[in-house]
Amino acid sequence: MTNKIEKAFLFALEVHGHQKRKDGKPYIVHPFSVANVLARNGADDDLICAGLLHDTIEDGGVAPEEIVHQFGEEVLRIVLFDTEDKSLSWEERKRSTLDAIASCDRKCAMLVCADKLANICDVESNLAESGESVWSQFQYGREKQEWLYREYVDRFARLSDLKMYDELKATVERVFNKRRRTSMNAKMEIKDNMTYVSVDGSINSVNAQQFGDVLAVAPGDTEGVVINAAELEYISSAGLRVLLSLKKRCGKKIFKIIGVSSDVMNIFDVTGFSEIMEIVPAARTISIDGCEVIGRGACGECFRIDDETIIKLYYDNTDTKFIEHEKALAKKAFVMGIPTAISYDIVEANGRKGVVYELIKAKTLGELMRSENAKLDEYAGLYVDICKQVHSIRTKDPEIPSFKEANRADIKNITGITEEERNYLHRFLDLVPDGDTCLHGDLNINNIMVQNGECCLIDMGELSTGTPMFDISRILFSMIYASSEQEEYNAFYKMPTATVKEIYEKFFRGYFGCDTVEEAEKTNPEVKWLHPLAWFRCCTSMLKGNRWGEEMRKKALGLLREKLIPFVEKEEMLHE
Amino acid sequence: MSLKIEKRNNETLALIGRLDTVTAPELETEISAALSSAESLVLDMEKLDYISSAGLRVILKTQKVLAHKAGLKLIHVSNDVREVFDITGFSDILTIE
Repeated sequence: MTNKIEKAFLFALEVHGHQKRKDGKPYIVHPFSVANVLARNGADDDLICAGLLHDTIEDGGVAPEEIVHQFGEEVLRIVLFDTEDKSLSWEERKRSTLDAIASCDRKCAMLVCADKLANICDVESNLAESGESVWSQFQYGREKQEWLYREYVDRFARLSDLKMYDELKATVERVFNKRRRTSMNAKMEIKDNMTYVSVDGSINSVNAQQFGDVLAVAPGDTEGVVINAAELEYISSAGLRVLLSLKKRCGKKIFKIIGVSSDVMNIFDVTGFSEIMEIVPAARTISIDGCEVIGRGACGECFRIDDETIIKLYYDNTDTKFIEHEKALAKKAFVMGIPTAISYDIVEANGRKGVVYELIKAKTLGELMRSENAKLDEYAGLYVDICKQVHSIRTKDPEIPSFKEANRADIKNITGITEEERNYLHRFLDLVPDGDTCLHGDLNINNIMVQNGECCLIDMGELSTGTPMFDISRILFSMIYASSEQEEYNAFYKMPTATVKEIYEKFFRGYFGCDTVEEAEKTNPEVKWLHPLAWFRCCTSMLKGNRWGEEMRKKALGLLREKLIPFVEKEEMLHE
Repeated sequence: MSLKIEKRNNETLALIGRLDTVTAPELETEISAALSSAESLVLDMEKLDYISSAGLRVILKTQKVLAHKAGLKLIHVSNDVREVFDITGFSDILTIE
């Protein structure tokens, strides 16, 4: 803070120190918030001083000469602009201010705008506290005020590059468009050993005690408290205090406020509450009307929202926990250094949940390999590089599942095998070496986008840890095992089966530096698990229902009985 | 639609324009040059209009390198970019002033 601003603050404090505002609050709060708004909107020192001093002449009786003497001509000029001639009638005064705003310089306009913003913000919080009776404080009631503030918004359009203009416009909308409820309803229930509270309306100084009474016995013996604030419109400091004491009572137990609207979120942010308690904002609602569908998958559809973002919209029956898990993994992958799209927030569209992702403007590695056969070597090289990049990352993050655990669930879903055979599959997983290498889970060439020669991965839902042979075995499975020997065309990769085989061979050579499993095993003993893991994958995917057809079922059953089970027995003997 | 990188002093770089797939490598080069002589880095984002995943990755990479040194600080972050940091939850990881 420069000396001049400090001086202006002390000067204003001396003038207004003993005064009160219409609503009974200390007067100094007002010039201070005006100066604060100005400072946040890039004002220079003179303008900030004018903000602090703007009512010293009009309401404090200070002589203009005093201001010039202490703060200079420029400060006085700005202050005088926002000083009304009280000898005129209300309407004349307001009209002359409105006319002046249209033609004054930017600094003067900024001061008046900040002044009006501070005033309407006060009106808003008073409305929530005491309801519509607030308007009786004004000599001219709600209708006249509404006209006046809407005029201000209109005249200040030239400041639309500033945040304070947006705030003024939004606050005026809120104040005059809806008559907020001043009552509150709160309910508490205990379910699954957790206390759930739902609250709607406004929590203010009148009903905060009542809110506190509802919560009085929480959390009791339960594991914690979850407050659903989706219908909460306003909370005053008295209400915040109730939350704070509940949070203290919860100690190390769960304490969470969910579904918070943006208005209420603002209050939590400004008061710093969002930093001391877990507060989950309500999902944004976005419209997908007229948006282009860019993909459909097993759990949802992708729409292009605009030039920079897409939304992955899940089908109706998708569990929210699953969506949160997939989004959390995408973020973890990004933070660990895996090149992937930014995942933004969880949103709602057409009543369904979705996650917004950055749009990657690029072709997939699969598309490139299909269209430019001559560059197959180069693309196989990119394929190897991205896989090695993922596999160079190690993590012990407990929230990233091990691939073994993730695959045990798949074993349960297999149909048409004996329980003994199922047991062999579990025993197989027991034998596979552990590891803390980061695995993508489905590194197929359709999940890799290439922009400017650099790879970017999508679909992070199967992120896990373990031996890198797991990731490679999935490639081996989808490129070699998953196609039928008689077919010349591979429908999944949309290219000739021979080309797919060629890509796999090039990939293998690039990743392991040799041509065969036997050779690779000499330097990396884990390669021994590559084919067995691919057999395992054949079982978990092709034996789940009959989606792959009878021929593939037979193939998988053959691999299970003739290859995987003997392998498990041999390995178990070696281990003994 | 490009990025301009201005060197304010030994450890402050001002970014002007768009930090995306095309321009992220330029920033990466500038940062590694700056880090050969500096222990900490300040990125002035007042005039940065847009940041994509490629840009965010360069920032995170720098953050990791500097975690063992005096640190990375982002200043004057514009509203649009701030929104990206907030919505993605990266504001919790980065030092933003």
